[in-house]
Amino acid sequence: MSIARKKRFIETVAKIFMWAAMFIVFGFVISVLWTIFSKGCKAMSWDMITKLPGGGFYIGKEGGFLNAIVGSLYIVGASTVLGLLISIPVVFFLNVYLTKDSKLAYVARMAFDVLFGVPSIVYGAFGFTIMIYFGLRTSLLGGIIVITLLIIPIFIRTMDEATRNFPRDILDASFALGATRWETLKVVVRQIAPGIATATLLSIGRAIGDAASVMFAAGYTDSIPTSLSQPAATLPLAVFFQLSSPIPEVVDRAYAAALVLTIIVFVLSICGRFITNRFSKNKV
Amino acid sequence: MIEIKNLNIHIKDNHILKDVNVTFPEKQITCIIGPSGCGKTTLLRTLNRLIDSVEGVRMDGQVLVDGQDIIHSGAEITELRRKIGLVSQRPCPLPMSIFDNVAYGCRINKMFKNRRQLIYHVQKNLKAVGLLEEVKGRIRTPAARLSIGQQQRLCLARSLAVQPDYILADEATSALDPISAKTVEDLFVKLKADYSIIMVTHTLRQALRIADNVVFMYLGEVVETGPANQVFNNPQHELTQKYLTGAFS
Repeated sequence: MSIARKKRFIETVAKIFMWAAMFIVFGFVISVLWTIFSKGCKAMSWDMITKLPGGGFYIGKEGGFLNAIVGSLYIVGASTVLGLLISIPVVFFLNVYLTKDSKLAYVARMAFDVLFGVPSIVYGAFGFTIMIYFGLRTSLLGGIIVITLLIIPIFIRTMDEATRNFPRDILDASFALGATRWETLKVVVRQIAPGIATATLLSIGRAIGDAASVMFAAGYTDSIPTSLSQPAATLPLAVFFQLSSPIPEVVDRAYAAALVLTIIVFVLSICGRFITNRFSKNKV
Repeated sequence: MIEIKNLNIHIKDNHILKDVNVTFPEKQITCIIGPSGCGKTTLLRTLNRLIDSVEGVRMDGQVLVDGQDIIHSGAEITELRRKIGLVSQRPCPLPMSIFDNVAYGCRINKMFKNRRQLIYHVQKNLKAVGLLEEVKGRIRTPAARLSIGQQQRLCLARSLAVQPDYILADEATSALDPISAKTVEDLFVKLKADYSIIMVTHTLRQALRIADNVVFMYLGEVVETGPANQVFNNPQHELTQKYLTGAFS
């Protein structure tokens, strides 16, 4: 076989391999969406998203899972804000205050990598222990704290990756005008805004879909919490509880809850992309 | 005036600047020349203390800016940096609009209370670097969309906007095309009426064209310094002669 033919053959094989991989991934996404939509649409109704579970909801009678939708949005919204407030200064400290060869930065990054990989059930168990120690019961606050802890490593590692490629010249340009490190934060945030948006999307995806940690920390309730000390229902747990039911109508409602969960993530992704594009227009 | 006395800079175990003694006169252009790695940029970054961000740096000696020692006296670094503008080798616009780039320094230094004054000041500085007409109608668009030459002039306008007394230029034209480089070079000549300019350059012809004074450095030491005419036409030191004749670069 001539060299040219051999190269062409390898090129073709590589192309086929890439197409096949794309097809598998794409097919997987389509089949997940198809399953959720086809099964979820059967049980989906206006009542499902606007009403609280009535008596006998879990044996197929009237009501909806508004409690879980609101509970999930409360927990995700609050923990995302808290996570951002804690993570941005950490990322800034690692990349602007500490030097590239800093041992502290190295150890911190390694710790966040470990935390990134810790299963959510461990966060749940940790949160549960802390709550028992402080005499707290399962509550919205507990859910918010545990989910914040869960997403902080995701926030930090994703934003850190975006910030590590940050052009150092920009920092010098800001310092050279008489800016302090703190004032320079504004410049850094503008430059890494797309990274922050990506980190936020990943974190929201993890936070809204996690059942294990909120089961311990937030509990489950059929009402909408009116204070931080009350338990809160979440969509993943609504899916979990209903999916294990022997009654077919209830199982379909689990898919309806999964559909709502998917639509929320989808809408947030689109909003995130829109915001990313808006902020990255000034990126250097 | 900036006066440097017995300045030694070590970075970790390396002795980068060795017993540097040099004076930068006011309202003139002083070009620092010398082969790569001789410490030109280190010297420049010492003047506004940007060298502080380098890990393991140690400084001895005196750097007197308007009579105040900026190394030992506990000088207010942010105020020092406001007083000494920097134009770096590669244009580095901040990730914001053209207007905000120039306004940024004014805002952090709280120079204006009135927004109208700020707008006027930004326009004045854009005009000073010949950019106002070119960006008319798109002053709120991202600075990153400007050409490289325009970006460098924007960086100069940004430095001028905080009303410095000195301008440091670190090979400010080396990344530009010849026309943009000429424009920036002409600007420096125009600006020396109001500012003291200290410029690191690799281009001897550029130093010959615009320098009033020249500092020649070699391996971290100042070998020769004096008026440009004298250094270029009648160099006193053998190393300077060799460098100017291209024996090494």
